[in-house]
Amino acid sequence: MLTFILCVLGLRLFLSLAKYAWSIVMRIGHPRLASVQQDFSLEPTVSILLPCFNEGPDVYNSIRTILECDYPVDKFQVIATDDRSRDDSWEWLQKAAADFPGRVVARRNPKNMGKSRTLIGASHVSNSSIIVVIDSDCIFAKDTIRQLVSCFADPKMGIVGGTVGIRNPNTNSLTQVQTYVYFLAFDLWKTYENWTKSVTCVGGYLLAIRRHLFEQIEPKILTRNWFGVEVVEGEDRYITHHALLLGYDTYVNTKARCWTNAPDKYPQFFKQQYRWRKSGVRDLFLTYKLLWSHLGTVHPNGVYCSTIAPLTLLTFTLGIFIAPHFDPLFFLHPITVIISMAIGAVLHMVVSKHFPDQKIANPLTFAFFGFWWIINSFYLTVLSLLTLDFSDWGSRTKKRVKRPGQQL
Amino acid sequence: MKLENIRPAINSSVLLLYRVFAIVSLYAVLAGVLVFGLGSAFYAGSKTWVAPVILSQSDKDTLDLIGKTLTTQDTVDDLKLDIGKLENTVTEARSHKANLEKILPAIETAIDQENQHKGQTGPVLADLDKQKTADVTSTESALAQSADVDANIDKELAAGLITKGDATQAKLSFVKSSGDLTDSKIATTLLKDTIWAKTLSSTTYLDTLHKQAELKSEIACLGIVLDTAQKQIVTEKNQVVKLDQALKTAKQTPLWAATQGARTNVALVPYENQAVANQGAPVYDCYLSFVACRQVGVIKATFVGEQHTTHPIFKTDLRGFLVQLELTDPDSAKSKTLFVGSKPLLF
Repeated sequence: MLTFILCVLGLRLFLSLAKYAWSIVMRIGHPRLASVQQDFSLEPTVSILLPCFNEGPDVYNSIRTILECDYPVDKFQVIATDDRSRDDSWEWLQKAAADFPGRVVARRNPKNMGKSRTLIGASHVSNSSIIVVIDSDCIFAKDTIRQLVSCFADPKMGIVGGTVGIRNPNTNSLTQVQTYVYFLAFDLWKTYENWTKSVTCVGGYLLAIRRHLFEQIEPKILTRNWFGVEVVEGEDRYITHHALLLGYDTYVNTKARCWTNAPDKYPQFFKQQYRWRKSGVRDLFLTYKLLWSHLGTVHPNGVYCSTIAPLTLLTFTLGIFIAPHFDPLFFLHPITVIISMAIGAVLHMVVSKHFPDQKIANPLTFAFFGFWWIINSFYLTVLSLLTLDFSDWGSRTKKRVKRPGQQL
Repeated sequence: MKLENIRPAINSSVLLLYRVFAIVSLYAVLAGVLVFGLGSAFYAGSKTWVAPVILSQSDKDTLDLIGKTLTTQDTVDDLKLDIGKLENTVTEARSHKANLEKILPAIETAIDQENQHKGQTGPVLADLDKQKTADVTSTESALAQSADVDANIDKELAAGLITKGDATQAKLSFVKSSGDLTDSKIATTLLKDTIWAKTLSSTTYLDTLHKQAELKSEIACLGIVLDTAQKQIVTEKNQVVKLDQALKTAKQTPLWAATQGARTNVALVPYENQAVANQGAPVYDCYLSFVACRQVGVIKATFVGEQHTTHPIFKTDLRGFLVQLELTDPDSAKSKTLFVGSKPLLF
């Protein structure tokens, strides 16, 4: 048993290292292979769908920065939908609609419906050929929309995403760690999947999709359930996965950039990681349920990323479970610490060089990532596996705030 | 019946099972994490726990001890035999040396006396040799002057001047004188030999000196042999003492008791917990690691000498010493940890 787990962990480590190494090689040595032909003259109509739940004033900033994008004003609009926030988000949406008349549609769900249904409801309001989904706490670079849309020159391109950076990298050790994690997960790792245009998860913080493709997938989103219990989160991965199954390419344009506030409090961070992990675990079940549909449709690289990588992650979780039996202090082993520090040093150099706005003040905090990684793999994976019958807005959920004159 | 009709029922059943399983599993994981965390914290701070070890004849350590003990005992026996041989050698060499040392002064005295005698007689003989040589020369000269005596005797006999008897007497006297001269020459030559022997180093003298040198060398060699043998005896005796002590110590350990076939209950006391490990101290075993404890015996004996084992909780290398346990409940020896002195949490 132990030998089997060690073999799988070794394989996992080898594949991960190979994946990152390959990403770097592709990024530096063959940038063309890892990119698509872009046509910046393309100017289709674009609807920015902004689902909002308990974001407060951040949602206004998001709307403002997306509206400042360098794209014909008459060809894009923001459809912002409040999912019955318990704070003043709705007021901020109304303010945005008032401040940018004709460019922002402010909507409010009749009841809390979750992100997926909020998006679908918003898509019904728009009639643009391209739908862009964004997170309500992000700010955007001026060329974000143009960078996304230009990639649709290829008719096979179904979904295009962007990369997300951290707005608050040096708030505390938690945000410092996340700066590296975001770079790995949303930038570097995507290069590996970009190579074959089979990105398995285009993040919901910035996701552009052809309208007809979205409409094709919409019924599946609406009927998503876990033995009868509706699933309302992880729609970004789900949409991407189905786009691949329908034979479309998926791609992350690393030049389309936005920035978000990383959670700076542990409960918030925990909920975010939990939501992400659960999304991945759900996707694993979907993958194995539809395994035969993948073969011949999805690029082998995409199949690998959807099947083998999560499976080895689960095995790794099992390894974490049994490791204390053999060596309870394994996470304090010098090799573990040295590897964490070495990875941290490399990441610090790369991030500092290419993203100076996200330079970390104290790179040694990356050692903390090693501990979080173990806890994350150990507990969140298990928690995700055992709570698939439950879903909500995750990190944005908060207690109802009583306002003057308002009944709770 | 269509599948779609019964799907809600199937979903509800699966969901119910899933939720029950999930709740049980999550609480189990939580409990596991809590127990692990609390246990780690407890054992990191506790100063009363010991790690029980059951020793038996077939243990690797026990078998090792048997092998090492036998080897050590063989070495001791060999050393003792060697010491006996060396002591005999010393006795014999000492006796032989004493005998030789007795001969050496006699030889030296003889040589001295002989040299002294030579010093006295040599010059005298040299003087006598000179005189003798002068006498011989004189005699030769006298005989040379009487070379025609024989003819004159014959003439006088023929002339009848002397009788035949007188003539014969005269001739015999002459011959005798010649013989005496020859004897004197021989004596002179022998005297020279004697003088040479008394004044110069003869081969006999050199032989004597050689024997004297050989004797001295042999005595010196015997001295070296004796010295070496005595030192070796001291060294080997020290070795024997040390090995005997080691054997004695080994035979006092619980491992030795295990080699004799008895199941021996011992426990490794980490150095940081040594304050509680006293002979007669009560030993406690707990039903739930360190909760719900009862007394199961006492410490029977403590043993010196460092021992290593694996930390029962952290799986790291653990250093300490062994104590022998006298258990009323032998099964307690199978527990992961025991506590000495008092119950770890007072219950």
